[in-house]
Amino acid sequence: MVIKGGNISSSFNYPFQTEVPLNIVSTILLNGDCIFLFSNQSAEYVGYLYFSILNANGSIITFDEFVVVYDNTYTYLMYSINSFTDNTFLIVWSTSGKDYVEKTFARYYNADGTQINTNSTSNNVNCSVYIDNSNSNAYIDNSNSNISNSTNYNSNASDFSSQTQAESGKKYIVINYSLFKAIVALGSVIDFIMLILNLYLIYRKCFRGQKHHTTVITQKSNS
Amino acid sequence: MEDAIIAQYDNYYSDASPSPLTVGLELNNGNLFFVYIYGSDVVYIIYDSFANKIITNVTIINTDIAKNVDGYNNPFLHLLLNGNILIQYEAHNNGGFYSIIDQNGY
Repeated sequence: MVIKGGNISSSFNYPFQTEVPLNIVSTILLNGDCIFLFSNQSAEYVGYLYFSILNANGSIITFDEFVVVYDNTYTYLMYSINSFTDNTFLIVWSTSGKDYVEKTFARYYNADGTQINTNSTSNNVNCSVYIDNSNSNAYIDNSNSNISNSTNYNSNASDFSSQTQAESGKKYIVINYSLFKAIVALGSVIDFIMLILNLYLIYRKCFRGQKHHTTVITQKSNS
Repeated sequence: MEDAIIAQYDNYYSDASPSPLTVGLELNNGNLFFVYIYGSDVVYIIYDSFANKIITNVTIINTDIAKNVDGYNNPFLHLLLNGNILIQYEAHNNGGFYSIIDQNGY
């Protein structure tokens, strides 16, 4: 029996190009939510990457959350999604430009779809992602790279901490999940320090104002 | 065990796409769950792996299907944490859809 059903991508406000599939991929979070990741290409060959979140009760709670737009600068868009045990998830997409340089981007999200990190990029890798929660690493499969000598690619983003050959004939870029968390934690610490500083400045303003007011009253009493 | 036929149709759609498009997974009770798409039909089947027979065969009907004229493709299945089954599929020109099936299938 169908308990619930509906649209994954109902709020598009631009025309679908006939016969262009959405190529939906998805991942199930441990909280029961499902993230659908999909693309669309308009008649002008402008492509969009979106995700929608289906909650554990079977209702779409986030429709068509925009991830990225790409135009005809790029010849294709590939993408993948996977999730960590803390219900965060990682979206990876790969594009190839007219110069035939492939680039892969990774973006990291909270379970509610809020973005955690800015884009990370790396050259010359393909686009399927496997997450190993035992060591908090995300492995982006490079096995289908068009680059014949795949050892030449460079990890040029700080959160692509290393690269390794995990399986014969396959190359992986490793995203260290702990480093993502450290960066997020550092951002939180800075936010906290800024909050304390702002509170101190407000307190100081108030304190000075009260002191000035007291002085005025004293002067009036003397006169 | 002999091969079991999950879905068998004539070649009416054979010029347009490989059909039926079939995916499957194992349910918690050991039965097998299949969904296949044949043109504008989205059908799920529960196969009793012990009795070696199909015990449920249901065509999913909802209002979204009525909007579509070109049929569906790209089916995918998830077994949800509560045992229910999530089917995702997409229309040729009308976006993506999901259906959640009760774990008992009835």
